[in-house]
Amino acid sequence: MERNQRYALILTQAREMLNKGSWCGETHLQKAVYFLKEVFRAPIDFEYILYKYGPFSFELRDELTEMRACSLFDLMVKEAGYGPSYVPTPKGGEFLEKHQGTISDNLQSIDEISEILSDKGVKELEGMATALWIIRNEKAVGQDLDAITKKVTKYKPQINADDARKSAELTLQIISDANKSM
Amino acid sequence: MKKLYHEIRDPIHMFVRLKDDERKVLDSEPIQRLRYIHQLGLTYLLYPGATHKRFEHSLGVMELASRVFDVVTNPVEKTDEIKDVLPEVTDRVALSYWRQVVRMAALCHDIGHLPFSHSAEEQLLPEGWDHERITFDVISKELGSIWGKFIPPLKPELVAKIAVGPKKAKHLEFTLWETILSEIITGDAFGVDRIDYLLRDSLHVGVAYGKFDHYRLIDTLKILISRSDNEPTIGIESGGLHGAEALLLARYFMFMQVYYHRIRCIYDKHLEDFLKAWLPKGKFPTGFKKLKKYTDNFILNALTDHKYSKEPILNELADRIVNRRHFKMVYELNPVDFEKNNYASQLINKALCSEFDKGMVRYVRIPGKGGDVSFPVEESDGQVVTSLKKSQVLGKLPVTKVEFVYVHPDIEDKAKSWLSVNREDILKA
Repeated sequence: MERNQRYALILTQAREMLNKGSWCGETHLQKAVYFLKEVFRAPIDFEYILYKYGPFSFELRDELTEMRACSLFDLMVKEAGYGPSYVPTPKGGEFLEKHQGTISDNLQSIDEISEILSDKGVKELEGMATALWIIRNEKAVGQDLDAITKKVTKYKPQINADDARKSAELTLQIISDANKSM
Repeated sequence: MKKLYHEIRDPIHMFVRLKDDERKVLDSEPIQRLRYIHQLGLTYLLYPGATHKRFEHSLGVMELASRVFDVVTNPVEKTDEIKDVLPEVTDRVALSYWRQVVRMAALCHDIGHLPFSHSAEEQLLPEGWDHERITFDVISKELGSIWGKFIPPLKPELVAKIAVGPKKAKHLEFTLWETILSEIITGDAFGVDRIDYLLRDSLHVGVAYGKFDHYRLIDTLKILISRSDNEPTIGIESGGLHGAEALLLARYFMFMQVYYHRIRCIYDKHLEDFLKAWLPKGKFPTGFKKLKKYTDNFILNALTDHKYSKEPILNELADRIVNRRHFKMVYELNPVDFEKNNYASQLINKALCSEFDKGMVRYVRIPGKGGDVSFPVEESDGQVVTSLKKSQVLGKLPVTKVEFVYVHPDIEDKAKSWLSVNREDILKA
């Protein structure tokens, strides 16, 4: 995917999540793009590793920095205890107008993933994205809910078993729905 | 009597102290090689004082890493919440082991650097390699036997992992604790690698921008859990906020004035051109046995040889550096042009390449860096908030980014006149 296409995709993802009431901090964007890549097969080449907050891409972090350098995103602080939101600038909006056509293939997926993830907090996103990482990277667990739950609590000991199970269930459901619609 | 500690004088930290077994690491070939790798590459061609080497920086990083480790692991300061997620902070024996791991990881964190600390690793190393991967290999293989002689013995892979960090050791899983330890060295906001290089580079370059009160800053560092992400990370007590602001401002100014200086950038490019033409198959070797001879001295010798050789290509490429006949900047990306076309500098480079000869034009693009200005701050009542809420400065700090187009000095005037006539048309593309 070419640079402007990537920018357009990330900006659209942020805009849609904000429109649907998301906090849209870095973790929200990281996880939304991860779902876009792994569930909806968007052609994004960011590499993800299992990091402090679940699957995380340093390349995407660098890209977000570059997009701030290009004045496409602003950081906005809403509440004291929480990290900043990524908000497209007016220039980001103009950029999207010009490049909307370049990501038309992914618009429906962006909309769907925003619908699902926008009301989720960081903890839920971490659980769901970690479950997805396990499903994609540890083939032995397959679609086995118990096995995925166990692995989520292994990698993320701060997530309790009930929450891990809910995350795994939800993630399996998202994958199943996406497979039907694709 | 045998000395228990060895003391080395340092212009930033006064004395850096090492134990006997640590001295063996310092005396090893991979660390000694760093005496011959300039910390700032060819920057001394424009800032004559910038002749310091990776060696003393590595010692400085080790010294600071120990200080930060002692501050952030002080068990008295730890809340139950922190003790729950990081039980390591309550185990004194384990802490002493980890302190040793962090010191050695800090000392070795740069041992895979290419000559002149060159950043064009994608061009000068085989695919999939960078200096961090070489660092990882040298620590875990080349120095493998040294770690076994420590009491207790250190695991080579642990030292390597902490030195390189999760961003570069993507094939490895990091526990929360290991991530925190690695953050002490490589962290975006308060990593001691950055603290030392800003202080050291500003001293040697002779600019005051890089200075900040690192003593105060380090004393206020703390492992904190913020409400937003619920995971432990290194933040600061509110009393250290001005120190943190000063660090991030120093970083911004140093990047804009020194690291991304237009002449420094073109010398890097000229060195890359020379190395691509001179190295066997245009690449450095990745194994330490072959890489070790490639120090700055070795390369400088080759540059001098080729300055006087009759081999036309290498002679010309060496001449640009040795005789300081660097290409001249004819275009720098600016906000007005970027507004018109966010590929402005690339288009201008392309246009100049087709109007003149491709070999007479060079392009440098360094994407935005220094983005992480959000970190947790602990208020006096124990509440943890984001730095952006507390600071009037951090949110306004621009991201550093540069894009330059240069041409051969022989066509500088011609290229500038041509560009002044055609620039607007090029940007319309």
